Amino acid sequence: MRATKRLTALVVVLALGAAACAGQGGSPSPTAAPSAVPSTAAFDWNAYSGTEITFLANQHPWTDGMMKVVDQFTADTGIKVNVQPFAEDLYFDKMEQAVRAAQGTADVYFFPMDSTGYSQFTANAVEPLTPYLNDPTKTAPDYDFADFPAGFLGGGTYPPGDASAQVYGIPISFETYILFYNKDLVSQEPATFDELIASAQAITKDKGGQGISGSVMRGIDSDTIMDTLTGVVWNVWGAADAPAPYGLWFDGGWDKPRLTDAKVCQGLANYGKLLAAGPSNKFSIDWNDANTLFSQGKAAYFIDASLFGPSYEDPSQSQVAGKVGYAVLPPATAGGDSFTGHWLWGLAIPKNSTKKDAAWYFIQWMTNKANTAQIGTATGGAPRLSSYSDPVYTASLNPDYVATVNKAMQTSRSTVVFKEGWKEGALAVVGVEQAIAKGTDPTAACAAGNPKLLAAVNK
Amino acid sequence: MTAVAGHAPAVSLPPARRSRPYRGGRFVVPLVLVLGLTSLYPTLYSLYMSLFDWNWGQRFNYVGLTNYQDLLSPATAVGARFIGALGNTFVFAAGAVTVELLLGLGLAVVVNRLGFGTGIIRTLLLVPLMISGIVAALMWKVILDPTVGFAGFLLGSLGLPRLGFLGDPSQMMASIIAIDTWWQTAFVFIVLSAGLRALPLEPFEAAEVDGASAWQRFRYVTLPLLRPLILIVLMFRTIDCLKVFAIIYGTTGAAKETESVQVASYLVAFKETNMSRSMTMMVIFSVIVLAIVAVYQRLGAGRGSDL
Repeated sequence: MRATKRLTALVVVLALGAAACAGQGGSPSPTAAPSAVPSTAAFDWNAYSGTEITFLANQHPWTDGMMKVVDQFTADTGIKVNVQPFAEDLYFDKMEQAVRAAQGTADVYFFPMDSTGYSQFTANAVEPLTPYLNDPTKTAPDYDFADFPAGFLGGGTYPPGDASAQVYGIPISFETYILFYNKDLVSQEPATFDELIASAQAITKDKGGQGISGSVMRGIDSDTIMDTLTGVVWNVWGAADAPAPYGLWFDGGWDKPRLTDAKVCQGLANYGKLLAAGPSNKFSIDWNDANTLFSQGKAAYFIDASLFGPSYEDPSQSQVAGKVGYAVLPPATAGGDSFTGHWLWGLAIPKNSTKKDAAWYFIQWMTNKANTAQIGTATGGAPRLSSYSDPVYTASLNPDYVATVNKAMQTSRSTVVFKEGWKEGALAVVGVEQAIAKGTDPTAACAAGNPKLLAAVNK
Repeated sequence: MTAVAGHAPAVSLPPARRSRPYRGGRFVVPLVLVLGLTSLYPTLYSLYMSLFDWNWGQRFNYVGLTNYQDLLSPATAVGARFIGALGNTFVFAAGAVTVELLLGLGLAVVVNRLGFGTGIIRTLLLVPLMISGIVAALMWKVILDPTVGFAGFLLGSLGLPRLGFLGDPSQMMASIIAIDTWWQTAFVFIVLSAGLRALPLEPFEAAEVDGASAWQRFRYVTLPLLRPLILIVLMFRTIDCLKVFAIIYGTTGAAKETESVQVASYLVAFKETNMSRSMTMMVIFSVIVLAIVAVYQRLGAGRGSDL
């Protein structure tokens, strides 16, 4: 018995000692010095030949397109790439672990150019790329960074709105929120958003018993619907100013949420009513479910990311190939202007990488003009302006799709809110839209949601 | 041997031996150390980290018991969410354990009395147990999808309205309990079935001779004899249900109507990167689970149970 007590005490002391010695575990330790600048003053694609880098990737059409050219990258640079793709839900967990760990496990990663990327910036976990862009020995002379629209860079440039802000992410795929409709179910493209809602409701009433609904939208109670939701609200807000970092949801200060603004509330109501015309399990549907349902011909209308478009034209993946119509979001009034939102994936380098220079070579090679157009054929979201005059890109896609996306790009606005901990605020906004979809009066729902948004971002 | 008049001769005992110390304990030292490191250390580390506001980044300030106060206060958003998750967890556990116990016991009694095909029936009942929780969740999510799922198709074919199941907030929890019942009833069945077969025959024969009906034999003989095993099954299923994650996350994701403590803790840790708060949730929940286990042990104490 005495021996047992002594043994137990020993184990407890060891465990306590180990716990007390445990460090924070999360803060990145000072990184290894970047690799040496090549001796030659000119840019040299083979400067880091023999290096192997790890690319943490999201299972995304861009990754599929990238895999077709990655061997050429190795042939051109001598840099081997260990690609580690993960399904998106798992990817976000892996990404946070990789960039916030003391020891790095990735050299390049899929970078969400939104509040998630911003929170990694505030955690000092991501490498600024401006020094690389400005160094002629590290960036190819024909890279042409100005070919990326300024509006596409905002989501990855921090601090937002600051004159000394630096670029942290290079865009690889953009998505803008457009209207997809099934031509078998829709005889005429709606001219206004109210017509869209009425048409969706009518189709649900007529064909709901056959398992076909008028619309399918992201409906889960999660911040993952925010970008599409923001696009629909931008469509009502229009061209009026809404500067970063506050964006659409705040009137120039985090203590001034504006869910009760007539235009914002109308936008939330538009989304809620369109969601309400969806299938009976609408509140458990995320983007993948909604995309699947539309591609199987189970819904007449679907507003979501433009990059789903190319897959709808592939008969091996879609039952609506050749039957999909593409349109910008119907404006509030017939003949009015349409607005929408955009969101981007980028590539970035974690601060804890020990192969930053080789990682930058990978990024600039994959995002140069030729490869952006080539890989863009898989996503339908090439983020360079030059891609839209590149036949490699434009000839591979449905011309209606290309025209619609081009039109949407002219008036699309960023959906990013630069606030650490924005997820809780986003859930407050989503809660308002859900209440409207469940039948609450929009004005009452917006009035109830405004203080919740205030509390969520001002803790 | 000495004899005392009027009494049987006393039996002389051999001289008393000094008891030797039990040396078997040293052989479990490695196991205890491993268990200590893998169980005790993470628990104590979580306890330590719950006193900070670590966000998996550079924020790491000592906040004392603030996390506990926030989580246990219904007036705060995080507290309301945590208490809601606790409620969902208990509702799920109570519902699933009750249904699985009744169904599992009923199946065990019925199959035990069958004179044929019991092997095949036991094997078929075991099939759901062979798949993991996440597979069961994703499979049933598709089956119960009102648009593309078989359940919706069946209801539509019969002229019935397509139910929302996992998409209808009022049906979500019942659907998840049903899925867990499909998945785990076999565990209850297997254990209680083995228990039934191991029961002695004599009490049943005696009861039958005394004229007891089938129900009376079940209630006054079977159940008392099976009680220790039922308590063990109840405890294991309760613990399993309290720590539910895959079945809920794989079907309804982050829906507030079904969010369990484990799901909430995961989301807070990995989606909101609020590590300290997540660890605080698990510390509180561990205390609750230990209290429940203690209740089961008390129920089973002194009744021949192994609890």
